[in-house]
Amino acid sequence: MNISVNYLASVFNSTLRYMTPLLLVTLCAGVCSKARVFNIGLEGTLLMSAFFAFLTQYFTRNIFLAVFVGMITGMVVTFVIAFFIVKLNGEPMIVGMAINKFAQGLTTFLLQMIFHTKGTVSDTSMKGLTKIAIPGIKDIPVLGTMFGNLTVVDYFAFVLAIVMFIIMYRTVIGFRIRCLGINPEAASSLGVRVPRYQIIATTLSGSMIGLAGCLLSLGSVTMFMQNISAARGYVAIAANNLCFGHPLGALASSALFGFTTALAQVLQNSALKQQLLQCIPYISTILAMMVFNFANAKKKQK
Amino acid sequence: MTEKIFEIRHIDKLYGTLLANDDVSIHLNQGEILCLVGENGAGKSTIMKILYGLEAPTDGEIFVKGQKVHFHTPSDAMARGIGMVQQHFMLFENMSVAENIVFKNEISKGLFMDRKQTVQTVRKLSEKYGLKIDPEAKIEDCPVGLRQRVEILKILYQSAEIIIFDEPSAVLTPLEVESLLETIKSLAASGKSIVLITHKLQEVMTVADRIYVMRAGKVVAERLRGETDTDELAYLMVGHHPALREVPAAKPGKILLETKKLSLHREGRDILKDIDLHVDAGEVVGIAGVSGNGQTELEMCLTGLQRPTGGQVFLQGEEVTNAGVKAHRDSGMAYISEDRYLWGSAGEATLSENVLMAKENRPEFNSNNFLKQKAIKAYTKRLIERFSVKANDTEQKIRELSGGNAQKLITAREIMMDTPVLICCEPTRGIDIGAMEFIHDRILEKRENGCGVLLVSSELNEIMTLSDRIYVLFEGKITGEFKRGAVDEKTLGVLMLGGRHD
Repeated sequence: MNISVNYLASVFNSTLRYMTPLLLVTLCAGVCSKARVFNIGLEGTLLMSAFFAFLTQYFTRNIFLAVFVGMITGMVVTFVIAFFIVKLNGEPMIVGMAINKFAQGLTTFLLQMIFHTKGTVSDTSMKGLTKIAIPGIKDIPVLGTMFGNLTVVDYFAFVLAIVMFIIMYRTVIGFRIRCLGINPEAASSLGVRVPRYQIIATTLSGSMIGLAGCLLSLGSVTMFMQNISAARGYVAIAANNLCFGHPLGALASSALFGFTTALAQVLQNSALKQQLLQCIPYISTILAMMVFNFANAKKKQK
Repeated sequence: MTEKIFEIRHIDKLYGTLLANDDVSIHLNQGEILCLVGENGAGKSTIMKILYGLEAPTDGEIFVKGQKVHFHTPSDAMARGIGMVQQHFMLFENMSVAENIVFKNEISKGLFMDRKQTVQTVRKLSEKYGLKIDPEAKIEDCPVGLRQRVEILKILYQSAEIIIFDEPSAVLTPLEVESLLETIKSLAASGKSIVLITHKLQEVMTVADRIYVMRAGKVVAERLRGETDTDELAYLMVGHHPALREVPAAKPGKILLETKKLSLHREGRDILKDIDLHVDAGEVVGIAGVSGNGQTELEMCLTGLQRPTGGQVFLQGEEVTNAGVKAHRDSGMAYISEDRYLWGSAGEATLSENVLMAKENRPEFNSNNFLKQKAIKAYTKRLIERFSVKANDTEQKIRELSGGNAQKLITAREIMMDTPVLICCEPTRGIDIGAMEFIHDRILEKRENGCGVLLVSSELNEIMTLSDRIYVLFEGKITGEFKRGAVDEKTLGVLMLGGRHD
């Protein structure tokens, strides 16, 4: 019995670890969708943030600088996306895809140039983000497993979800962002400079993708590999759709995807085919979207 | 009373080569209700958009309270106390009424919204001006009349002294119009100065203190209400006296369109209940009713856009109840829809593309699935000329046309379908007298050719003038049927509102 409890505890733990980067990206996706900037470049943004945070840490061994660079990368890339979509009237789909492809190319290229490898870079002497061991809990068998191996940023992600809720739903600035996303024309008719709000809001929220990137390359493991973002940027778009851009809903939807990813991971030792297991998160994305849209359509009918 | 609160001097506005405003000079006195009347495209909206900072004038000056001003954006105008209720509402759908009103001037505690105070302030404001609303209701749940009220409150919240209404009654039901006119009067009584843009002359005669008539970009007349009447205003607007229409009696032939016990049951309600109607060859049949009593659903059932839950529809003796739109059209039905942009046309498509719609398979325009561009253009040109649509080119977007001209083109397309049955819904909503007469002529012409026309309209005048037979629709049921001349406006009005005919 004890084994299975430990087993569940470790599933819980990996759910948390898969969930937090996704949560951060989903929060950013939430701001983008509320501000009516259709951003599908999250994936590329995440990949570049992870890379540059790792690179900074590799050369400077200064974790604060690394996180800072990660956040700046997230903001810069998101700014570029927003600028192209909002100011230059680019087709959002093309802009986003271009950024995603560019990120893949750039990181692969730099990986080759700097580290002379096409696959994985890691350095055992490198330190990642500070892990938090809650005193008193870490030695308790089950709880210790459940909350083990989590970094400052993992915990901070949860705090950010609440902070984002307060900003978006309780402050004047959040109110304006939500309004102008609903009807940009109406907002500008009242003299609000819509593009400026859109660009600033999305750019700032890009810093959360930066944090997510740090979690990927400097989190539970300290390494960078090609395509480390592994479609999390796209899953975040789905997660954001499930929660209608609500920051607290993002907690639930990213937990769902975190759990299914963890499930795929722990079932690796079972008899199920590897390829099938890797489908679980994506199949659950489709299923969840179907269920939610169905429920929503029904609600609307009423 | 005679203090000029704003004055516009010699404004010209050029759009390309089109002179939309030609040396326009108007002023507004403190506390008065000023009406700007004119046909569509006469330049009345343009001049007000210039005043509100939405458009820049090509030439001329604007003075507000004696000071010369240059407005670049609506917020500049707003800062000088000028607000405008536009035709298309500028609201945030899933936000509350109160939130919509305070947007941009939020009531806050530091960084945070003060929700209680917001609701209270809005409630006070609504009580002060007698504009009843529920501050906490969501906009998406508000009917059009209420939304307009929110727009007005929004402007009042920003303490505007001059309020411009741009054709405010175009989207309202008759009852809502009445309450709007009351509102306008009481706003003026409380010291606000009002500009009302309209082409509905009854409204003008109800509320105006002073009237400017515009035609082709120029101010052609200025009148006090007491010294004019609707006939003179109509004359000034169109430049000729609209002839009182005498429509010769119809010679009905065989039944073309018929419904038997047509019903539509939705969400536990009877939207349509046992509708029995028929339209014969050579007659115009009117459906009178206050909008929202099942007209939209009736036309959708008749045209195949909606499947009825009971009863049958026959077109030229053939049952088409569940056959779908294409089958309806193929069996000889054309349809001028209620909403010219939602159903009637594709705004971003060109005039010739819009004209081609539903004719794309006809051999004169289609050769082995390739479109015959030349033939289509030539045909569009013919239609534009025959229906006197004001357009620059067959390849411009239909959205660029004024409402009346777009409607003329859609009417042209449907009439040229040359079908035995024509269904027209609100064919003249929101368009000017000239275009309206023109469309009426075409409808009657259609009748003379032995076709059956079903006319759905919330304009009682239109129904009474054109119809050889009138059905009254109330809450999804037919509550009366009359031959031409057998009923007066009052009786119809009573039936439309659910009263009984005795």
